[in-house]
Amino acid sequence: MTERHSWRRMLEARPVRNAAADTVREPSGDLGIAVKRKRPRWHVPPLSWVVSLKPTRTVRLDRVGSQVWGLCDGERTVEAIVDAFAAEHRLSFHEARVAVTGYLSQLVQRGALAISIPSRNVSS
Amino acid sequence: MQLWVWRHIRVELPEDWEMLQFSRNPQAGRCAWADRYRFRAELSWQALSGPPDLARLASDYLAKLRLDGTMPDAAPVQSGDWRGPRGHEDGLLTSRLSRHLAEEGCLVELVLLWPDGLDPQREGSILASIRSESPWPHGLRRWRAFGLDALASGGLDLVECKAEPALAQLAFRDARATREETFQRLGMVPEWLDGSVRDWLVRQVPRDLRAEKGTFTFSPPWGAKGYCAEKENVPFSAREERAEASGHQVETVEGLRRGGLLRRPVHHAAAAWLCPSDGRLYCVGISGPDGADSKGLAGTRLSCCEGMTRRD
Repeated sequence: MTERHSWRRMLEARPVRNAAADTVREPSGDLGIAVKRKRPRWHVPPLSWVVSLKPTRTVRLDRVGSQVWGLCDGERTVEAIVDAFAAEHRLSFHEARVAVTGYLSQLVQRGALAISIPSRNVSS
Repeated sequence: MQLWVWRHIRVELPEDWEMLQFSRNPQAGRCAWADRYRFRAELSWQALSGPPDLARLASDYLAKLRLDGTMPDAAPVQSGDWRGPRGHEDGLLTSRLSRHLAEEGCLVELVLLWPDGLDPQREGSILASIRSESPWPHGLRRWRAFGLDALASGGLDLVECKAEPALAQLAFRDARATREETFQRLGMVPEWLDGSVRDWLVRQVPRDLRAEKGTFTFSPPWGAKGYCAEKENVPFSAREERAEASGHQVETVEGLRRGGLLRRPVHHAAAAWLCPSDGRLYCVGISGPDGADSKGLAGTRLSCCEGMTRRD
């Protein structure tokens, strides 16, 4: 239980949407986020003539995930998103934090989001 | 201040401190609480066969912390029965105070972190709040954490604890697994509850549940009206009831689980309700050979808010 166990920096971070991602509302109510894929190095002719790869990868979010995505407007910090999520679902701060960071981490891994971390104050 | 009761030890902590870590082991373990940004308190316990020499323990601990450099500026502190060092650990002011809880037969240590400087009044009130939680009538033991305020039968072990977003669950069982008590608090109810609370409760009960013989008389302890469910709506032949308690619509079910060649019949009783004050679904289920009264579960064995039953 020391200074390094603070998660304040994580809460000050700002999730930013991938500008190249397209969102599609599916009939089921889920949200699909199509993220452009980087073409693999091996995907060149003649292999690319026989092996086709989709240019995008779709991340599907349920209703709750869609709300988290909706809150990631590039302005809100993780803390603000957690607060909004907690208020919406009547959760405690840490319940909402665990849920929100779970979604954010999946979205970051799949390339739909990037995290902007504030620079550390040198004097502190 | 918010009351927490864990391992028969009660502590009052600021409202915004939440328990993020816990141990189920009654012999030795710890619980830790955090505010928004960091851990703020840790309560650890160690069962002892007799009272320790706390003065010597504290001085040895102080010397160790100074010697190994963990807390170079450690200074001895005494507050009532509490003794221990206070100083900076990794640049953060930290109090490490211990005392012997004779009723529980254990040594407890409270670690408090002070990122914004020492708050003597808050430290004093937290220390003063820590004491043993005495058994309730009929040997019931109180557990209060994660929004649950539960009374479990004495002699049961906490065998499972879940604390996940929108799901808190405490499950107790005796050593021979003949009696089991489960307390749940579920959040984000509109996201997953697609029917009524009654339908949900019916889905939770064991499949082999059947009604007990005998006539049924229903007199809810809170004196409100109650009624028996229509039998044709019940997918099993256990008794199902509904009653209202202080604005809480409580659904209950009870019955007997069939015995077998090597298994005795087990009585099962459960109650579930939505709390209007926090919008969460609360559920308590009790299984045991000696029977349990489903009508007495809500508000007595598990309460959700002050509106249902006042205990303190």
